Amino acid sequence: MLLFFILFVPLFVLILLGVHMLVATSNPDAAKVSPYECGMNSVSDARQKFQVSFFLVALLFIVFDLEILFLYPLTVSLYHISLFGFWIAMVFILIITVGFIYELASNVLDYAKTPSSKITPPNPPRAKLLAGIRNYSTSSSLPSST
Amino acid sequence: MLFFLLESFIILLPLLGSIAFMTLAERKVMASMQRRVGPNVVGFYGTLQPFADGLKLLLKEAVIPSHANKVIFLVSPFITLSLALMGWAAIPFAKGTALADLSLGVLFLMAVSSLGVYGVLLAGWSANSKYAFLGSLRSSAQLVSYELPLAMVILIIVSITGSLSFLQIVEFQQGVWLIIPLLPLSLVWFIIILAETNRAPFDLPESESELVAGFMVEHSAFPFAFFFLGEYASILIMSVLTSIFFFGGYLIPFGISSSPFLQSFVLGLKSSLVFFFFIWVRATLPRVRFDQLMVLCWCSLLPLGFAFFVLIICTLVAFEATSY
Amino acid sequence: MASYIFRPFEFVRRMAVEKPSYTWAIGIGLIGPIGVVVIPPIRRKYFGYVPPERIPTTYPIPKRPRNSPSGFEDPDDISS
Repeated sequence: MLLFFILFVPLFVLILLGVHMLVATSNPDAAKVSPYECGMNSVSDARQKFQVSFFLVALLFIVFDLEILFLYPLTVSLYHISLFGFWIAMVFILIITVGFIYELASNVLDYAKTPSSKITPPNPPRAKLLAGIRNYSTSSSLPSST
Repeated sequence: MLFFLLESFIILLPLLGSIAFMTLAERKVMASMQRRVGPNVVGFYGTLQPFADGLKLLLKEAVIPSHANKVIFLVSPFITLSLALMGWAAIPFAKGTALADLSLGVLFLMAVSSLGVYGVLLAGWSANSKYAFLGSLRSSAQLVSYELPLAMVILIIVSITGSLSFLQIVEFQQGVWLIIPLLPLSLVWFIIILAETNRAPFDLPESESELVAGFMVEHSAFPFAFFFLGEYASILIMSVLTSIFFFGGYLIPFGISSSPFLQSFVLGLKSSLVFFFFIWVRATLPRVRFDQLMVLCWCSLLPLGFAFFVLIICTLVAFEATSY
Repeated sequence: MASYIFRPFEFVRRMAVEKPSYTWAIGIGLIGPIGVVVIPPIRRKYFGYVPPERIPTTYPIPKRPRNSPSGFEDPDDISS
């Protein structure tokens, strides 16, 4: 039954898509199929460099998801492994914690502090903050229109 | 074979219908919270509005951008909707009324829902638009990050009930609903399900003011409707999961009745209340910033999730209350 | 910060304000293992708790006389 459902659901969705393809109109023109960029002509390809933090988050996710995967058997066999297995699991969680502290301490998750953006002091004095805003508004780094 | 087909349709058609009415409920409730009327023209008191919307989306033209990878562009909404509907196989609607009463149902649902990130990632990549690309980056980072505390909360519940089967998790709560012993954890869970389904205040992927519609900005007509349906199906599945894990699933309080019809009705009532909570939060809270979102997940929810996990398995071992 | 090292109570109070989630996580996480060490002796000594015998999980079942449970027989008069 489960297998049938798993196979049937994509088929059902595919049928919905097929019905749509049959009844919907289709007359594309150049402006319609151009990439959406708020009314402007698109200037470059979208596959550009992106901030490395997203990649780091994915890396951290892989490590932690594996670690959590190891905890699944623990939860259902907590009685059978007795006290010895329980302490082994505690040591495992301790090792995870040490790794987690290392990851947090190396600031990979802090999006504001990654090298790609300027480092700002956490609590700038008010006068300095206002000056910063003024500087930004006058000397903004917009690309020149030449 | 025909019986299997019938059974699948008995799950799928009411599911799609309830998704349609959920969108209407969201618009009506949010309208009431903002002192508007909401949709009230199509049908009696606006009841036919979602079907009119669906029909409109069916007849609209599906624009496929010229720069897009066309196959992946069409496959990604297909993946999203299929995976969101597939998870319903393991949900027990009443005692003995699951489509497939799996002994590893929780694991199955986790696997299916974590595959959902592929739809998001492929959609953003294939559209070849900058908004879609940024939206999918954010969305996938958010989805994979919040899966870890989600898994931690589920692990805690599994270690208390001692089973990965939804039926046994529900039957365990005949004495007391798990929200009473696990109240702090349920607050963590409520935050996580908001983020896992990309809902406000964590709807960064589709923040209208900066990314227009996030990863699905290039999708139109029915591919867009697939994303929409998939998103609401996952919200519904999270509501049902909340009521199964914390509010006793289909159990009727104080054992008043045990008829399967009433049990499934009670499960629907509990899930609807959780869905009302989703709408309420959306109408109340402003959107957070993206770095705040990630810091909340990695620096608050995940350490607290691990700590609660250690506390609870230690409590179980210390009082020799581990289930076998 | 350095002066707090010799005053652990003040240090924890300061950390509970500055990094509440880490402090509470470490605190909650430490209660558990300490509880595993501390609670069972207290239960045995002061509450008269006798731990139940573990269910045998290995094949050569333990060499001991089997004590069959009593008190669960059907009543003699079936009519009741």
